[in-house]
Order: sequence, then C-alpha cells, then structure tokens
Amino acid sequence: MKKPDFTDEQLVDAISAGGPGRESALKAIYEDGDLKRMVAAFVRNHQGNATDGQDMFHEGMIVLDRNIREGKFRGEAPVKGYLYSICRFLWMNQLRKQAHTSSVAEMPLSNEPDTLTPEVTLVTEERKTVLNRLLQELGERCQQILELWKLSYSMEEIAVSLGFSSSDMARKAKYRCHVSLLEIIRKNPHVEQLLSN
Amino acid sequence: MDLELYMERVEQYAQGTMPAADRAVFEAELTANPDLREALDLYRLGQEVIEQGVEAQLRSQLQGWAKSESETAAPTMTAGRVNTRALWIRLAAAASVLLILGWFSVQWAGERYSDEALFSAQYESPEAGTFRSGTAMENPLEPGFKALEDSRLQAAEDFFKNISPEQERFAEAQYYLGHAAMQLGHYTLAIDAFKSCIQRNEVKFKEKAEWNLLLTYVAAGQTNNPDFRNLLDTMRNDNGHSYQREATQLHKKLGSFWRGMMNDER
Repeated sequence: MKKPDFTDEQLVDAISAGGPGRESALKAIYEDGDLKRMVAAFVRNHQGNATDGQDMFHEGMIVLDRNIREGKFRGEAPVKGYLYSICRFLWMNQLRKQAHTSSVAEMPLSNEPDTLTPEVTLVTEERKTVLNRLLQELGERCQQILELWKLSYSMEEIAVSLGFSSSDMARKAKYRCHVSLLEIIRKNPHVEQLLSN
Repeated sequence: MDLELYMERVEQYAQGTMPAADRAVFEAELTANPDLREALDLYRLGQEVIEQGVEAQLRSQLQGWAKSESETAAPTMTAGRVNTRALWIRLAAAASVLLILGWFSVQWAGERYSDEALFSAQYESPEAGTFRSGTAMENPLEPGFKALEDSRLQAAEDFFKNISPEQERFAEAQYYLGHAAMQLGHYTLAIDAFKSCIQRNEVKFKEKAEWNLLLTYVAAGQTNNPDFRNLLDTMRNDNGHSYQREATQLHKKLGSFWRGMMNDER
C-alpha cells in the first residue's frame, strides 16, 4: 500500500492539529530512511554508535513534535532539515554533558553549514524524574485522558478511544483528572522548587 | 485555596481562548490575587507534567516502529527441501513432536497463566518516589516508607499495622500495609488492609487499593472467591475506573483456553 506523501505544510498542520492525524505525520517523517542514515552517520562520526544514532533520532522526533505543537517551529527551514539540526544539537549536548572529550564544549555543531539553530528546551533529568513521579501518582486512566486532551483530541474522540458513554462524560472525567493532578502537584514537597525553575 | 474556583478561567487564559476584554480583567486580578496566581502557576506546571506523559508515549511508539522495522529487515527463512525418508519415520517423528509440543504447551501455559505468573506480570510494588506527600520531618508514616524503600518488609508491616484508625493517614497506612503484607505472603492481612483502605474512600488510594486487592487474591490462589469475582466484575464494568483496562485483561486471562488446559492437566 502506498504511504501518503506529505508536504511540509501538511506535516506541520497535522502535528499541530493533534488528534489521530499527528501519528500519521510523525510516522511519515520517521520512515525517511535517508534522514535516519544522516543522523546515524553524524553520531557515528562524533564518537557514537548505531544505538546512540537511533536514540538521538527518537529524541529529535520528540523535540520536533513538541516544538511544532507549541508553535516554536516557524517554517524557516524544511521540517526534515530542522529535525536533523535538532538531532545534531542533542547529540553534541550529550557529548558535552558526558565530557567525552575535553574540547567538545568548544566544538561547532558540525562542519556542515548550519542554517538554523533549533529551539530546544532542555529539561534536567532531576526535574523530569520529579515530573514523572507526579504523573505516576495519577491513575493510568487519568493520564491517558489528559494526554489525549493535551494532544488536542476532541472530547468525542476521547470518549470513543477510552470507552466513555458520551463526550460529556469524557469532559467531566477530564476535569476531575485535571483538578486531581493539580492537587497532587500542590501537595508535593518539591512544588516550590519546581515553580521557581 | 480552592482550585476549582479558578480552574475554568485559568484554563481559558492559559490556552489563549479567553476573550480580550476578560483577559485584561484577569491580568489585573492576577496582580492582586495570590490564589489566582498560584492556580495559574500550578496549571502551567501541570501542563509540563502532562507533556512528560505525551513524550513518554511517543518514545514508546518510536521504539515500536524501530522494532517493526528491524523485524521487517530481518532475512526471512527459506523453505527447506522435502525429506524423502520412509513414511513411518516421518509419522513417528511427527508424533514425537506433538508429544513434545503438548508438554511444552502445558509448561508454557504454566509460565504465563498460573496464579503466580498472572500476579508477577501485573504487580508493581510502589516506587519510593511516590510514597511521600509531605516532608520527611512532618510525615508520620516516614519510618514505614523508609522500611519499604529498604525492602525491610517485616519492619514496614509492623510499623503500618500500628497506625490506628483515628490517625489522619490511616487509609494511606493501610494501603502500604497491604503492599508489605502481600510481598511477605501474608495474604489474609494484605486483603484486610486493602479492604480497610478502600472503605475509607480516599480518592488517591481507593482505586489503587482495589486493583492491589484483586492481585492479592490472585497471589493467594483465591480467584474463585466471590469477593474477588464481584470486585473484578465491578471494576471491568466501570468505565471511569483507573484500572478498568487491567481488570478486563485479567478477567480475559483467567478465562483463557491456556489456563483451562493448564488446570485440566493438574
């Protein structure tokens, strides 16, 4: 079966709109073998291996998805070029953190011309751990509801996807889960620290 | 501060759906009302927490795609040439294979569908990070959490057992008592503790306690107990229950062909 071809505009629209179209758009980007090979080659040429290359490609996809949904990608470069820049940035940042080489902090991202600097929000591992724990305190079903809502699924789609009898029931559940999450956050001893960062 | 008072307006403001006139009023109120500011801060932090879940979901999706790709890329097996040995030899070999397959099927079913296997596949002991909802100094359950964290299960059980029903965190203590007792194999105590937690009807623990109560029955080999059956049916038919999906899967596995076959063999 032929896969749908997306233009850059269609990719961005589908990811921004969220809902079921987002997954098809992400899959289309993911299946670009050339792009994956380029990222793998870059990582391999900078002290990494094949697994690192795949990990960076995945992490790059995650950042790309978020940046598009949050409107940080402004279409100044092709989507796949932007993703490649993100992957390079993430890998070089990881190398800096691991201090694999003493001079890496001063290294340019690569010898290739860099047409853009991706906007990448780096969340520290400590903060991620605390945020994940907060999420885990919420029941799994509440997590699913809030994640679908965050991805702009309509209440009708959430109702169908999670087996609610109506969109109204889904809306009520979303509200209840959202309030519960904020209560969990408020009661967490690290809340002040999280808010101040 | 009552979050629900502000929730709707904060959401409109943060999502950018608030009309411009209301937005100006809201921003003016933000400077004067610390509760509203706190609600907005919490809302924004909440968005960050949910985003972590979205990212984790996508990460797992990407790993799934990578796995499918590597499986597709793997070389497919080519058909071997037909052996022309005498028919009786092939029949004897086929019978042996069937016998071996039968034996392995029972073993396989035992590994996946026994009470022990069902329990192990589903049970998650609470993570240390989720224990604490107050600072160590002020949390009266801290010694119990510490014991659980250090896997000193008997000490944890002894500690939580001594929290009286009059104490503020009784439901929480019963929940963790259930976990400690279950891991020690003290199933009757674990069942009583989870039931007692459920009776307190605290949102944060009730549904988790119900799920763990089910698992305790499984671990104890009491899947025919009417209380277990009733709770399982209630949970799998409750669309709003956080563990509905798990309960449905558990129900399916309990009624599976493989479990039936395993039980017939025993």
